[in-house]
Amino acid sequence: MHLSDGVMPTTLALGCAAASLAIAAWSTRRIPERDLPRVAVMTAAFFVATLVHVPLGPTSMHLLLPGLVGVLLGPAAFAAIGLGLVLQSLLFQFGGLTALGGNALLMGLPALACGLLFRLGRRLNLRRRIALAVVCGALGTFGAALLMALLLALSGEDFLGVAKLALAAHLPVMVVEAAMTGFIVAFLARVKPEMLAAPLPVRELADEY
Amino acid sequence: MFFRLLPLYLVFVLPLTAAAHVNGHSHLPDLSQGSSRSEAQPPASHAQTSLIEKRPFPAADPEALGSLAAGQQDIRREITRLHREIAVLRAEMAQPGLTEILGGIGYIIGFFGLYAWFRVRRGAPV
Repeated sequence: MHLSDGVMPTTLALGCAAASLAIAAWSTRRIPERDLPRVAVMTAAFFVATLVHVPLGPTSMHLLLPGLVGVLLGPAAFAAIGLGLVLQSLLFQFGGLTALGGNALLMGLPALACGLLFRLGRRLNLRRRIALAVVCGALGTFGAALLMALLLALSGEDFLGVAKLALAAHLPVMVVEAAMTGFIVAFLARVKPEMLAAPLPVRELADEY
Repeated sequence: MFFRLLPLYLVFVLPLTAAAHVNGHSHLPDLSQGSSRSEAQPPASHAQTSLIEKRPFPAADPEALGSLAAGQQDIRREITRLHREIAVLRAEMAQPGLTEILGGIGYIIGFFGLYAWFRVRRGAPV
């Protein structure tokens, strides 16, 4: 869910912008050096994901995919999501430009957490890794909804009420994304396992030169 | 001098004034003072007068008044429907179209291409 302009007070928006810029700079350095097209494709997938609608009673929600992006990209997920959000804000008018920092934090941090969680389980057998991927897929959107409720609470709304509403609204999205992440990870594990390998940190590669 | 111009007058001016005096009244504008408006217009023919007498003014006929009001109601309803359609159209136009999607993907590819180019320039393996 994207925050619009004017929801967050100025100090909060500036703080979120500064924090997300710092984390994005760190994340850009962690973009895998041999796998730029993969990061580009995941950014494009995240960018287009908001056009996929999941029906929710009379209205519909849209997919967010922070879990999937985090699982497949790891530390580079924050930069990818940040770039996707900038383009969504400029081209689709999803989310305000001043709320970019807040949106990047609320979607990027769950992605980083899911990536970390998936990496921690890289020594498990295949079935457990796929189950972990399913959990991570749901956890990404869950964390995003929670962080959005937190940001709205810091802007003056009632946290519990907003949190309940956001989580209830995102429940079908969580189910769909969990299934998607599970299928994609299962497919990649059979077809191209090296895409699921945790990307090497820049430091280790630099030691070779 | 007058006698030299007389043939011209006979040939050009007289026939025109005679043609302007068709049917006993003059089609030429009467610029004399005090001429009323009714004299400037040609009198209606007999058929037109009877038509004017038969067709009443709308305010004089209650049935015509009712049908006029109903007609105005229909027009107002149509206008409301048109306003609703315009609102729906505006909402539809605000949706991201194929142009924006392709543009965004192009931007993403471009940014990563630039990033790769700068990395190559720095000497790091891409």
